[in-house]
Amino acid sequence: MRAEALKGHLDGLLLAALEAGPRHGYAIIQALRAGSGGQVDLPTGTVYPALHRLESAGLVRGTWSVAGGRRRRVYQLTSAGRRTLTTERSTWREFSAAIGALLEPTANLATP
Amino acid sequence: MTSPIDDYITELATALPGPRRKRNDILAELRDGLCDATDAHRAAGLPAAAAIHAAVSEFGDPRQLATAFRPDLAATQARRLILALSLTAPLIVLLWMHAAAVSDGSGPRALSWHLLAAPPVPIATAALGVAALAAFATLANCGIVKPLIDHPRLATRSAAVAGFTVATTDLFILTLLGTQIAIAPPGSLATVPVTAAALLTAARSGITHRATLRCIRAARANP
Repeated sequence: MRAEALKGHLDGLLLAALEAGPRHGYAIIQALRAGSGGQVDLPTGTVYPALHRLESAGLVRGTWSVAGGRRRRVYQLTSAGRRTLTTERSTWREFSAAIGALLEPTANLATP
Repeated sequence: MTSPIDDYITELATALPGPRRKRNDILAELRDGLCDATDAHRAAGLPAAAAIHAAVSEFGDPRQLATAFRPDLAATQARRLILALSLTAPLIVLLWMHAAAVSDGSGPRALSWHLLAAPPVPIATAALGVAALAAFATLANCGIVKPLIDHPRLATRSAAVAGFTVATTDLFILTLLGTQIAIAPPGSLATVPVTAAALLTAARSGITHRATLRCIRAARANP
C-alpha cells in the first residue's frame, strides 16, 4: 500500500497498534505489518517522528525500560489517546461505509 | 571499521537539532530500532552483514528522518523558552523593584529609574499573575497552549517574538540603569541589589538571545 494512501490514517493506525498494550517503535511497525498481512508497511522514517508528535500531543506516553539488557523506549496509550482512537474509528467507519456504498457495482447512483 | 548502524546514527545526530536530552533520547531510540530491525532480518534468514544493511536501508535517509523530527523538536524548544521567560520575568521585576526601593532616591532620577523605583504594587502583582498563568498553562498543557502543541510553527513564532522582545527589553533596562548611574549622586544606588539585578538581567538577555536563535534554527525545515 502506498505511503500517501495511508497518510491521513497514520495517527489512528499507531494508536490502534498500542490499544492492546505498550509496544516499542519497531514492534509497532511489525504489528501493523503482520496485522495487515504485509499490506501496511509504514516507512520507518515516518513512524518514530509521528510517535514523538503523538507524545507531545498527549495521546501516547513514552517511557524508557530495560528489557534483556537493552534500554528501550516503550509507548502506551494515554486516556486522551484512547478517546482519539475511538473517534478515529467511528470517522473511519462512516467514511468507508460511504465510499464502499459508492464504489460497489450495485451503487445506487442516479443515471445521468 | 565502524558499523553501518553507527554511521547512520552519526549522520542522524549531525542533522538533528534541539534540546540535548530529547535529541539523545531520539538517537538512543533509533539505534535500538535499528538493532530490532537487524534482529528481524536475521530471524528472516539473512546473514549478519546483510541484515544490518537491510535494517539501515529500511530506515531510509537519516537526513530525511531528522527533518521529520524537526517540527516537534522545535516546538519543544519553543515551549521551554516561553516557560523560562515567564518564570524569570517576575524574578527580574522584583529584583529591580527591590534595588530601587533600597537605593537612596532623594537625588536626581532619570525618568526610567523613577518608573522602576515606584512601580505600583498592581503591576508587580499582575506580572506575577501572568507569569504564573503562563507557566501553569505551559506545564499543564491546557487550552491556552494547546494551539502551540497542535501547530509547532505557531509555537516557534511566538517563542521567537517573545524571546527577542525580552532580550531587547533587558538591554533597554540596562541602558536605563547606565543613565541613572551617570546622573545619580555617587553612592546613592544600593550596590549589591543593583549589581545583582543588572547581572541577572544581562545574563538573561544573552541566554534568551541564544536560545531564541537556536529555536529558529531548529524550526527551519532544511538546515
